[in-house]
Amino acid sequence: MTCDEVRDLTGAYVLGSTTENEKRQIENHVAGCDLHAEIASLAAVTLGLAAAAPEVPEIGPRSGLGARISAAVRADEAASDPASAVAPVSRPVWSRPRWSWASSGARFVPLSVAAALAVAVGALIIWNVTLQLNEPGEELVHFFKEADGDWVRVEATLGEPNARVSLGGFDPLPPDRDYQLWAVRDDSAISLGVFDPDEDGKWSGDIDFPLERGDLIAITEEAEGGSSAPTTDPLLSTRL
Amino acid sequence: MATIAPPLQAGGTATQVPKRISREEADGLAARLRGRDPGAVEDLYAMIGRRAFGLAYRVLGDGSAAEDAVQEAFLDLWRLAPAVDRSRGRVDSLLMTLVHRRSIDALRARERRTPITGVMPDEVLDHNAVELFERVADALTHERVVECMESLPADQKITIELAYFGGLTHTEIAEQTGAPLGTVKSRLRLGLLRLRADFGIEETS
Ligand SMILES: [Zn+2]
Repeated sequence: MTCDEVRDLTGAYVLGSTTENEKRQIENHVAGCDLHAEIASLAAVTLGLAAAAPEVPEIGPRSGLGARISAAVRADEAASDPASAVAPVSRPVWSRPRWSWASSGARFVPLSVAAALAVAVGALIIWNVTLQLNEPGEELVHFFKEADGDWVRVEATLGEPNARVSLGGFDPLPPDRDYQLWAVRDDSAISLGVFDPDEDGKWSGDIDFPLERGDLIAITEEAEGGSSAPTTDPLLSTRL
Repeated sequence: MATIAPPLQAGGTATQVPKRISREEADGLAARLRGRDPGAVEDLYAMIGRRAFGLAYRVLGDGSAAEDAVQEAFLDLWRLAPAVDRSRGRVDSLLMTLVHRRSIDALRARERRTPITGVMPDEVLDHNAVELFERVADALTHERVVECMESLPADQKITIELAYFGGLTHTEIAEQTGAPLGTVKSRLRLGLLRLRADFGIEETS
């Protein structure tokens, strides 16, 4: 690789996004090249990226995880040093039940304003990307941002009842009003719930509704606690 | 007020932002780890377990898998313990790096994509990178990092997110965004260079 070829790849390299072959070539090259300084500094940047994940995720680990880790560490210690082990060194079998996704009992309701929702604010799109991984259980990452800065990001395995929704750009509402998130399919809208953005105007959480390609995601402002069908024009809508 | 998805299992007080670990606390934990005190792992978990889970969950989007990744990362830390010293950076940063690595490994295994051995290049644990990071780490709060990410051009931000949180290679990002490979490479590099400036990280040799 030439210096220019290596320089093009420094970002991908520190993010672990190169091929193994490129990785080896880069490492051989920078042993004798000033680009190692750029790589070290960009690697330092990636160490900061972990902080982009929420410090207080809206769901946390189950309360037993600390005990599980403690037991695993102590078992590892015993296994690696049998002489000091006072307990049997065989590893405990940890119980790992799946997370339960409680059904919300949500139902589609007829929606007279579905058509209005579907055409709203299309002109305001500044960019919109849908990524599709062609793997079993099609995964979808959909990002949509409007000119006024409101945005929504949906990550879902299509047809499966869990999707991750993140939102931003939403101003605080008075206590008697809530934002409500909808999925619109055919001529029906289903409430995915109401949300309260944080002081930065953001919210993220999980919804237990099986989204499909073609569903319209919309956000309206409603009375506190939400409505059974949208009563206001959407502040944002985007089709998956 | 109702929320869209109730917390599945609250592992702590949801509204309380965890206190950041001080340098002295981090050094103290590292010393105890070198002395093979399992209590140090437990104390570290109590301090940043929830944050570690948040990172794993951000990558994996699955609570059980995220818990497994966090557990494996703590075990990795425990096995690295004799070598945990200042040259590897603060113990909390190191743990988060291990959580990220374990999470990406699990993600790629789950999606049956090409595994990448040592997802993060060894350079990440290199002295130079760690030292450069340590100089600015205290200022890099969650809010600050998010602010810097949000200020990136959107295409750079999402490309970096796909690489860092999605574990995608440049080729996979190109396939999935429809952007030419060369564009993906330059978005990754230019985005990180801009973050480097925003984070206040110097390039020194
Ligand atoms: Zn060179």
